[in-house]
Amino acid sequence: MPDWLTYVISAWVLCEVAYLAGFRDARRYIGAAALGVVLPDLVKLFFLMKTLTDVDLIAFSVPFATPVGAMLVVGLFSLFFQRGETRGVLPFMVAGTAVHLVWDLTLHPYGGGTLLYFPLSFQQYSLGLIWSDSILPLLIIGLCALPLGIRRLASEGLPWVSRSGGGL
Amino acid sequence: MNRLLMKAILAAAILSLCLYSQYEYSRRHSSIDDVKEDPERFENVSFRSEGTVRDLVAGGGLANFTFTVMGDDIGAVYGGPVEIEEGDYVIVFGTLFMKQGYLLVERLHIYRDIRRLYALSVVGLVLFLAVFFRDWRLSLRELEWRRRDA
Repeated sequence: MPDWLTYVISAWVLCEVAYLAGFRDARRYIGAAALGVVLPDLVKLFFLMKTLTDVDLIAFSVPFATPVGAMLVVGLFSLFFQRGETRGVLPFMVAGTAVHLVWDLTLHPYGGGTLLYFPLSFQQYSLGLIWSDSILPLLIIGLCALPLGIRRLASEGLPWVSRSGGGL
Repeated sequence: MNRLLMKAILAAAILSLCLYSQYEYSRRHSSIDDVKEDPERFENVSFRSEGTVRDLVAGGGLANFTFTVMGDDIGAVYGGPVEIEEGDYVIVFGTLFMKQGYLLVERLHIYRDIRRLYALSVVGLVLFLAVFFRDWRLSLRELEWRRRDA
């Protein structure tokens, strides 16, 4: 997997692009997109559990990092948001999770690859472009985020300073 | 549809997938414990995993080491061109010869920047928590996330 900083910046880029594309609520759901983008890594908790306690539930946790399983988890999590927000939260969580799975798909096949068609197939797929510890994903998403951040700063100023420059 | 019913249906679907995976994935992928318990079955079998190099003894063009995967150990031999060091986090691709009790590593990749990955992930976790909790708070009474500005 790429690092979590890459994932969270990806969620921000996703919402910023959606906002510029006309989805005016997109910025309100950056938190939801960020939750979606990290959810498939629930599987890592089971890796940690195996390492620390020798309880091996890794096979049990595999669906969390597959498209079908991850989307079901996202659906379940979205129902824990207040009524009236679920419909706003769900698409951004789904998009965040999709971004995570696309990043994972780029990893080198030694890393195992994604079970794209689970539960129909256990075949693992990977584009084999990036090693897990590579800085490349962060550089790529950083290059995408930079112009968006500059544009936002130029048009709206710093988040904690009013446009007239009058301070907080 | 009632939200509670939808939660129950989704939870049941997820649990079903997990149980299915526990059975089927385990049949296709073996842990090091499984490998050690049945040496006959794991003779001349392909192996791929990520783990840590421990107890490295190098000499004569060969590297003997203990390969540790999530707390489980297996003896490994590697004679390839990439130089490994004690404590390296690596991904190996090789063949198990469990009758003799070792893994012959044919190819490997060293995750030289794994600590940077962990450090960046910690930064990402902090950022995620900041971004999420800026907008949402947990209402324990309703057990749901509510907007802070609602």
